[in-house]
Amino acid sequence: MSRPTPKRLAPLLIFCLAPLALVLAQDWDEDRSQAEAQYEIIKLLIKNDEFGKVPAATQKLFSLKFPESAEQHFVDTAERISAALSDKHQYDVAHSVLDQALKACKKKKSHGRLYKEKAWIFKKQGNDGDAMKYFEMANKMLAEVPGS
Amino acid sequence: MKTTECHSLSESLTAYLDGELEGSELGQFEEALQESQALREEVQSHQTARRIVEESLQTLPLQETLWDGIRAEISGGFEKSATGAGRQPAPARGWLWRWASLTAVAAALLVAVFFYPSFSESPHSPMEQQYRDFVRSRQLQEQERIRSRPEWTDVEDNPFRRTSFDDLNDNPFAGE
Repeated sequence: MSRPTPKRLAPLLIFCLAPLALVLAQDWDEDRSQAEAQYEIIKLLIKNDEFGKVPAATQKLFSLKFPESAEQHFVDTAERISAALSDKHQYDVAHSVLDQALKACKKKKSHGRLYKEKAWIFKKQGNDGDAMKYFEMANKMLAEVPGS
Repeated sequence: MKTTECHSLSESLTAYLDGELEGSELGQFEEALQESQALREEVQSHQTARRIVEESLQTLPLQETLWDGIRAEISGGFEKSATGAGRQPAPARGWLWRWASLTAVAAALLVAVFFYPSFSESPHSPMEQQYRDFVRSRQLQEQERIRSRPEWTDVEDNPFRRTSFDDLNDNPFAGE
């Protein structure tokens, strides 16, 4: 009996995992629609200066299950919402949104980007100490990412 | 009495007291002296003062060697300054010492010139420099954003729109 080699196992693995991947992609497609809608809600809340409702709305967004490949869109979301909030001087709300994103995201690159965003918000608040601290954390995190 | 007369009388008075008046000048002055009580008193007061000074000078002990001592001191000082004698000799410093100090000053100036920008501008650590660069770039980004899009519109771009998920359509498990 010949010994199974990785080359022989690869097609078998693909055959088994392909349906699972398709199911996950379909699930995410549904969640993506929800995320799109939720994003619009958050946008309106900020436009209407209803900042108190923003953390709850963003929590719904970041609670969605998403594949790793979609993580960057959540980081983009957190960055844009935090920028919009800081434009309106809602720094505390911006921090809470970024903290939610940090919990939801898993990649070190995402964490690095989100720490940098927090550093920028602290800088805008005039808190250079925390800004430096988060900037250092971001750099450490990004240094561990290959190719960055 | 006119001012000119007063002035000439004052000159004549001094000459009279010194015994230098002669002839007609002496005669005129003596006439004036007889006529003027004030002039007589003036002459008398001058004479009294002179006498007091002469008497006091006579009572002072005369140090005959004093002037000789002063003269010797002065002439000695001139001789010393002329010949350079008597000065404390300066400590001998060789050419090596002078060149070393000049080189040190030049090196200090070079260091100051080359490192001045880094002393004045750059932070103490590379991390701080990176942080400053980050802040600067974010400020520029914000300025650019505000300039190009004055309204708050960044958030308009929904990252979850279908168009932004084209990469998900490239299924790595799909057959060729």
